[in-house]
Amino acid sequence: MSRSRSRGPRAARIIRIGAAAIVLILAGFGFLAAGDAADLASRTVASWQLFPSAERAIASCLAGFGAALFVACVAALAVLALSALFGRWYCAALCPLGTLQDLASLLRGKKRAYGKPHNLLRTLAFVIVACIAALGSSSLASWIDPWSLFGRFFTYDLRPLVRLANREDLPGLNVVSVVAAAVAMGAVLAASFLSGRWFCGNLCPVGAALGVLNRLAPLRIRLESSSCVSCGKCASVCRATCIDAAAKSLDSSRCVNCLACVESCPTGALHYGPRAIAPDRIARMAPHRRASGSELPMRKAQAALSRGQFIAAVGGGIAAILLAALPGRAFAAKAIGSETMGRDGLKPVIPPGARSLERFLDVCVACGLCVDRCPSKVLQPSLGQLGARGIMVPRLDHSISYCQYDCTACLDACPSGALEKLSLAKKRLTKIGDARLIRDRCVVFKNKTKCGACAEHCPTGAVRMVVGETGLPEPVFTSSICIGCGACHHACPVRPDRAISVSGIAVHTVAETPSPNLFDATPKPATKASASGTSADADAFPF
Amino acid sequence: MDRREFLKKTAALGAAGALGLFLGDRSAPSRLWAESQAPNTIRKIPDIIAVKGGGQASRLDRALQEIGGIGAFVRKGQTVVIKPNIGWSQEPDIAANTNPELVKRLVEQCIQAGAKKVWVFDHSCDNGPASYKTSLIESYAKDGGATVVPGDSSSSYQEVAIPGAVTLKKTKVHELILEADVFINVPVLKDHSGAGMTCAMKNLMGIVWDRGAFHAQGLDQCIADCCLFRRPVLNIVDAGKIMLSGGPRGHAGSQYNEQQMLILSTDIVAIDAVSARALGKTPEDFGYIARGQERGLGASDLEKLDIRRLTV
Repeated sequence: MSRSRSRGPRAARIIRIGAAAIVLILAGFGFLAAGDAADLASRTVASWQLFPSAERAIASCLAGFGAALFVACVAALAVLALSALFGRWYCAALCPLGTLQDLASLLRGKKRAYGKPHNLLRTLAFVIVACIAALGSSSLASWIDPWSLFGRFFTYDLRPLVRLANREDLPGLNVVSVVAAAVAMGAVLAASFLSGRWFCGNLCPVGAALGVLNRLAPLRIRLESSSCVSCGKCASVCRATCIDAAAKSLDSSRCVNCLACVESCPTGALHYGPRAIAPDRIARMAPHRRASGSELPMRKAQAALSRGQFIAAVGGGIAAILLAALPGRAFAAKAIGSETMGRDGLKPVIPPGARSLERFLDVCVACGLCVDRCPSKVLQPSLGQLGARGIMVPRLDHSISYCQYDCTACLDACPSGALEKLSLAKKRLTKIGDARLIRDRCVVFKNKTKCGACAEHCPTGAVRMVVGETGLPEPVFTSSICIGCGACHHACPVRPDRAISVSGIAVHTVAETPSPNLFDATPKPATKASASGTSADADAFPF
Repeated sequence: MDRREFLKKTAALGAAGALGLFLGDRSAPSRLWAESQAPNTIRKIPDIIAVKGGGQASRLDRALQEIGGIGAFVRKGQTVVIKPNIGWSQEPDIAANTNPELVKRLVEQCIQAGAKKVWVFDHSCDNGPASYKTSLIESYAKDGGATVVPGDSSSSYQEVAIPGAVTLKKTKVHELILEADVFINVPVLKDHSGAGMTCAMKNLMGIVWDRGAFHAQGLDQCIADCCLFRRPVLNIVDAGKIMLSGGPRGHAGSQYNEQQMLILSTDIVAIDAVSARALGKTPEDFGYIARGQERGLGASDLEKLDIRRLTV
């Protein structure tokens, strides 16, 4: 009899495991491989992750309304709505960090046991994350966001290993980002090795929010204590460590609806489904119906705690919104700073689509996906260049490379909306910085030798070579058509400080379209053939 | 004149072979032997072969027919490295890179001649994979049967000394240049903002890792020095659609001369000298041509060159 009951849960559980495996494989492939398929895979997984999706939705709401807003909000609203209806399934199916933790937990192979919730920690973590994000730094808030933790580990630890294996260069790889990402991931996985989904139940802000929804959801896993025999089989398979078999209780706020317990239960006390009949009605029921069992009322203490949690979470959310609106926000931004002047008086450059440094630092969750997808590797994590507010937020490092003129990889990848999706045509006119030419440093003037590396690489013609007083082609710079891609900066051979370099601008603008006549000045070639030719068709030859 | 030129060339190649032996380059002896044998024992070829008309493939076929087929340079079982210009992530129509059809046809010719392996690579200026892809050279070369090798990883480059160099005495060169039996240079001819013109000599900048050193130490001399390291047995210039302005990258306002031409030569200096004319300039306009001639890389005097002009 128990067999026939477990067939449904088993099928559902296999589907759940399949989904989790597909998400993890797509995410892993998406971060570790190069090419269009990997771009698509990582983008697909990333766009459904709740933390960046929520950032995207909030940023779009603040920016305005329209069709774009709807698109931006779809993922977050869909995940939240489906969680409100079907419970907290996201963590066991869509979150790749969740699946990684399950793998770490499986490694240990030991039976799991009930773990007490740390409600204060969970509530505080959520409130702190919400406040930090509202104060203007989603990247600092993202240090306990599962997607960002996952992304940084893959971008700064695993991808470099893959590159190393492929004999590729590792430009810009720095110890700080490697260690920071590895330590954070190491801590999460160590916790799961010891105690299942400890991170998800006690620290994760996404888990905290979905935990609240799980309590309210009409469909979720329920434990009917009337038919529970406290055998403990469920608790030994519960990754969330949320079933207290002895007390015959299930902590719905931490349950991820993985369905392992339902399958393991020999009496059918655990089931996934709608709300059971209210206990006061059971008393009034006919005895034969009472026997079919129903959920007993929650213990008083637990109920009180849950209400307290709920109030704290809602209060935290409101506090965060208030903080964002308060002048304290501007004060906070000033107090911790948003950018620092780099070497040679250059300001940091942030990617096209960021619109402004202020907005970028507000929204970017520093998951590293854009850094991972950037083919030229010009995108690198900031370690202070964007101030304390922008630790690990990407910036362009022109000493490593430059932004490719025909590339929108970072814009396509960004799941948080920190980088707006611009068309290639728009991206090519987005001015993210401005070049500065210092003639006294330039080899043409200093060494009287030909160079032109800057003009050679410039995609817009903002730097051109024009024969000048030296008799050599000299660089000439036009700021209005410069987009700040850094090609000239990267190519300039002068060291330690370059003759031409790009400084970032805090609010991106639109550059002028280069004139099609820009390269008309070059004299046309002699069309007449040379006199030296002797064969019959010599006239057609220029020599 | 013809016979004297022939004898001179034989002597020069023989001397180069002997020099290679003395210099002790690990891959030099067998390579130079193979190279020096081929062009001279088969038939006398003119200094310059220029073919106009037709398409990329038919021009190449016609030029190779004139030298008795690519088999004059590529022997059965040999490995070949082909160095096109894949500098920029630009489509073939921009003519910032060597035409992909030309590369493909050359690969096919080498394989038909019995080449064991044909490699294609360049150290692109733009992002490597993007340039390989957008230029279509990667897909076309693979279709032709080549192995397309990345040029954007410093680990593929080895430090070498360049005997006879004035400025660029040491540099890091791609391992395939050291490894391959036969080295063929397939540049595109176009305007160049820094060097004035890029063609056969300038194209060899793409076999080294640190291009910045060229710019920092004097572009003209370094281009000439670089050609001393390993001279291609054959230079084949794509002058199909010549970019006259806005080079090397190419811009919306770039002007072109649709010459529908291909130029072939064993002399890297001579081919640049005639190419200068195709660009509407003279060999004297480019410092590296004179410096190349000074270093004994070839002859730039257009009056003295034996030029065969063909049409298809």
